[in-house]
Amino acid sequence: MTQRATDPSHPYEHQEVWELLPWYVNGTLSDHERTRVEAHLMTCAACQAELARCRDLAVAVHAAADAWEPSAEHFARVLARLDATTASATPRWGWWDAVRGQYERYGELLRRTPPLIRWTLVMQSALTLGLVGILMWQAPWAPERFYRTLSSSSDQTAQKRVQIRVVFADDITEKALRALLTEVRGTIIAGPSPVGVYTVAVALSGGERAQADIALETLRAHPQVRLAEALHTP
Amino acid sequence: MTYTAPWLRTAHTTPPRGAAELGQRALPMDEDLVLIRRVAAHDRQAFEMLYHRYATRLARYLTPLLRQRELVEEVLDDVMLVVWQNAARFDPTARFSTWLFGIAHHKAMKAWGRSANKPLPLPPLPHDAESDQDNPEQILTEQELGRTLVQALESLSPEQRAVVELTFYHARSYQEIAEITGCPVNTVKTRMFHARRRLAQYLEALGLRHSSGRQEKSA
Repeated sequence: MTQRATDPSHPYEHQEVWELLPWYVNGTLSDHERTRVEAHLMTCAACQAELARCRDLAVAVHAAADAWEPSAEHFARVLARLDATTASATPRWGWWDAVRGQYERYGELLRRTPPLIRWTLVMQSALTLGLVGILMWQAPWAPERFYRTLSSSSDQTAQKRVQIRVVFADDITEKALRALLTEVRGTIIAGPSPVGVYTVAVALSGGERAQADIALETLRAHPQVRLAEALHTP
Repeated sequence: MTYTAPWLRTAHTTPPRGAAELGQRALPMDEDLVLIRRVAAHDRQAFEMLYHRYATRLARYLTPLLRQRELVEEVLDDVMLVVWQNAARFDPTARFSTWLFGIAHHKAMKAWGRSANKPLPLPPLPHDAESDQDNPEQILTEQELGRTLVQALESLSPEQRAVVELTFYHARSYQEIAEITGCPVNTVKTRMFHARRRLAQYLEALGLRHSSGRQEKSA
């Protein structure tokens, strides 16, 4: 440390200590910095006054604190966004990761094998890949079936079920809950989570999306349902 | 050269100084690390626990910067989504909350920029009122002082307010604030300097001055 840093009355020392005062107040300075500030404060009336101002400011910042609290509804919305993102992102990344992983493993294997076997394997793999490609190309259902996610809408209608995340009012009775689930042809398949979120699977008799929308509207219209969100992007 | 978003850069946190501070932080940091590892494995229960640990604190940080509750909740959603998607990229040698607040700060500044076409008016610096000059003897009560300072805080820019909030409410060191806001330590100190000067100007314009920790009407 230079001479000015050890001299509490030096103008530069005053400026640097003045800058550190907010963090002296919040207690995050290093031991060295704290000692330095305290030495300067012993002799500097301006910094003593500024220290008082910083303490007033700390009190005001705490007084301005907002009373926002997390809620089941908010967290359910976060999960709904997460589901929507996962549903749209998973097939693409799953496909890419699988291909890249296979490619890397295969490359490593080839590097370790003798040249004759290596080229035999390459030829064999190329033939297999070509055959698989032809089969995939000819199968009209292939792209959809390769990347199935639980939350994708096409899957849900194929399985004749749609999943809905529901938050019920605290005072709903078991009887009312049962009646509501019967009305929408729903079954609780998960929950409650720690914040009271249930996942309800609704059966679709004809695989019609309209039926899922009606179930969602019925749930939302019920006075004792605080939130109902489908697990797929509408 | 590819751009890397601030929350994806490795966040090396200055190790806490002093045994007491280390003792206070060791346990929560370990819990955070366990949770974020579980989130990286797409464990939703761990994700929910992290949400409950930090949602209130994050909202408390975002509210003074964004001021509108809907915008705060929207940014909070974005932050949690980034955590879910990038949990595997979190550097375990860094402090989780610093990484998380860095994401929140970045998202808040972007949201502030997006809402630039419809900004809420910042309270201007008040002009000296003649009526104030008529009563130089008036001394403000503690409550009035607090209210005046809270009002004065509203006159700070989001960048200045961020440094003030992180310092006085979230008790962050200036090094941690530099990491969260993605700027050099000197910039943090400069923003704090301007914030303190702005608050002093605000109070002076009201005919107030500080004296040994309390505000008085200046003669």
